[in-house]
Amino acid sequence: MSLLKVENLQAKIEDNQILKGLNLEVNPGEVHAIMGPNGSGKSTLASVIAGREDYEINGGRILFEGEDITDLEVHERAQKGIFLAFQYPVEIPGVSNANFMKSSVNAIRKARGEEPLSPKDFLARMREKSALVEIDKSFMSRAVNEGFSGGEKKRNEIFQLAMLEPKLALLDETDSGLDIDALKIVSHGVNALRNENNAFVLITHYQRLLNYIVPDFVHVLADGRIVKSGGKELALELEEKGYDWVKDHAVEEQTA
Amino acid sequence: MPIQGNNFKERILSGFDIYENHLNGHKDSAQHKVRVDAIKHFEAKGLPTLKNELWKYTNVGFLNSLDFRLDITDTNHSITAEDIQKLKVDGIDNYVAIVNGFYSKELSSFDTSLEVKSLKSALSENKEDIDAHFNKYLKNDTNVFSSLNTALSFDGVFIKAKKGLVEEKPLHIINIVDSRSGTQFKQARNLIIAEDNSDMKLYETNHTIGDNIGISNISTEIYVGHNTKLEHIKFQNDTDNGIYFAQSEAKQERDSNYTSNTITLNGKFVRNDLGTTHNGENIETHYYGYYYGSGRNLIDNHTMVDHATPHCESNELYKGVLGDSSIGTFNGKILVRPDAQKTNAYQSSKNVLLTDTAKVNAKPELEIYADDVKCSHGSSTGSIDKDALFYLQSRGILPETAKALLLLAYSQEIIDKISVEPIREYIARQVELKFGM
Ligand SMILES: Nc1ncnc2c1ncn2[C@@H]1O[C@H](COP(=O)(O)OP(=O)(O)OP(=O)(O)O)[C@@H](O)[C@H]1O
Ligand SMILES: [Mg+2]
Repeated sequence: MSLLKVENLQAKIEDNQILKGLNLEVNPGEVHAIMGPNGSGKSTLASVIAGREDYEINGGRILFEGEDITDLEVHERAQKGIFLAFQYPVEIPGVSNANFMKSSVNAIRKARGEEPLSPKDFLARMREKSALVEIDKSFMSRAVNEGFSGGEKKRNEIFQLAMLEPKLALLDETDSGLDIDALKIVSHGVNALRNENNAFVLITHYQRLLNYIVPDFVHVLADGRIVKSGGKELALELEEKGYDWVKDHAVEEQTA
Repeated sequence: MPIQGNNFKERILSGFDIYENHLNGHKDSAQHKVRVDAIKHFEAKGLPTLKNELWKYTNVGFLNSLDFRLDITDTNHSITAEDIQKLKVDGIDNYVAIVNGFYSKELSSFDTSLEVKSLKSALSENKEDIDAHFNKYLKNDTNVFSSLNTALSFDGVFIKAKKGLVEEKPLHIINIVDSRSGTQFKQARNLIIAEDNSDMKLYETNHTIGDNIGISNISTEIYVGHNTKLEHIKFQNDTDNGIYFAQSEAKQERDSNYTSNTITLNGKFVRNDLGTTHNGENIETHYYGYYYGSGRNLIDNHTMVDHATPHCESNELYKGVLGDSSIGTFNGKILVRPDAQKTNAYQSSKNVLLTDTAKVNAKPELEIYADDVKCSHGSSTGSIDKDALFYLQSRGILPETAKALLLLAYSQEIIDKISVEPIREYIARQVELKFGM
């Protein structure tokens, strides 16, 4: 059974139809990359899968482990194992990273009928996972993302990912704004978390990330649809030829 | 028992008449003349209406429908030491209890270098202090609840720090109205004197105990001497039977530092009038406030800083969260008189509305008559940050918990201003409980 199945998904905000019949299937153990022009709907797709309610779903459905989750709330999806690493992580003044993660880890455990982590185990886990993404301990007592640099915010997303170990991770341009060292650290973190039971969807503009995290599939999202899918070599081809090539190509395919 | 009148005013006036009729020979005393003047002022003015600028958002007409008998010398009550134990804070061992407006020696307990006694005793024993400070700062002319207090109060607490005295241990003032036997309208009158170079911390709470409505009307006068530091924390987390009027008026001398922190979490009705007047240079005034309204709570904070002298600073921050059908009002006035050059005055009021039926009235008022001053004010009203909610929820956190986390964070800035750790932690915990954490 596939982990995620997006079927003919259509989503709009106000009068703006953004997703126009999108299909995507992700199996456990796979890494998918989604590329595509600015404004084509990549973040929208990630947000809609995560359950953001600002969008109206006006067609299609989303299955997670075979279950229709189209109408589930945001936290319910997260509790089932869906994680979104934000393109623009939100600053939350007054809430410490540690407190945030404690609430998060324990809410997910509770939903699974597990006891809250003991303070000792929680601390140990924080220590282990912050080491993985090379985040300083002092970050934990700081307010969530407040005053973090762009790169620090992205690293914090991967730290959270490591803490929660979701089944499906959607990484929305996590590589943007990272210097080369940070990119390596983040990629290393992601690779360390990969296993045959989980899957990653990487939204990116740059082939560079895919050198570090090698995808099984690459998709091109343009104008609210997946217009082309292929293996990892597609990313290289895109880098060379640009998106117009795919768009023209897609039209040809459709008319053919 | 005879009915005392058809409305608030009639009840007050007939209660006062009964008291006067029992006075016999003492009607001519100077003290009684003060009462008579004050009650006459109330009689002429009556309860404020929405036409009164200072009450335009707060309707007190509901007081007319509350049936109570006013027996202003009645000291009977049913409050026990057990009741007090539930109200005190762990780690704060000095406390005084004022029940139905009267200082209770039996229910109070303290070991402090401050002079603490009933106002009644101070009126006869501390003649100099009384002559210098009693009924000198309260705004009887502009606030009818102050004149009511002046007319009807007999007691309260007297607290004095002698010159140079530094008392680290805070004193908890527990105000109680015992409404077990019926609706009550009670006055307490407090006088706080912090002489030059002294330092003290006060923590004040109010409680209605009983199934009937308890109306407290508490007037506090505060003198803050030269180079003196006074921190006054007020925590208002009464039951839905509590109606609370408080007027606090301070006079600050040069180099003094007065901090007021008012935190309101519940009460049927709360009106705080907070004022200070500067009388010297290099004075600092800090006003902080946090209020959370739920149900049909009405919480009204009126503040005033009277910059009468040059080179002084005032700094004010009030934050509110209003849920259900609650109403929050903030009216902050900064008056900079012509002599008060080089004044720095900052004021900010922020509110979060949780529902469409909650309401906030925020009104900053700057009246500036000096030209070389720095004054700023800001006021904002918003709702909970949707992006932050989505972010928290996307990590599996329930919507209610996410909301609570954000609201707690919002209150933190004010709670963190409390310098006394056990009180800060206690209040932080009460806020958490309020948000179901
Ligand atoms: N709240 C909104 N109201 C109206 N239009 C919106 C809203 N949010 C997104 N859009 C529009 O939806 C389209 C898709 O946006 P989205 O953020 O999904 O693009 P993207 O593919 O992630 O782009 P980028 O590569 O720049 O991150 C854009 O045209 C955007 O302007
Ligand atoms: Mg995007």
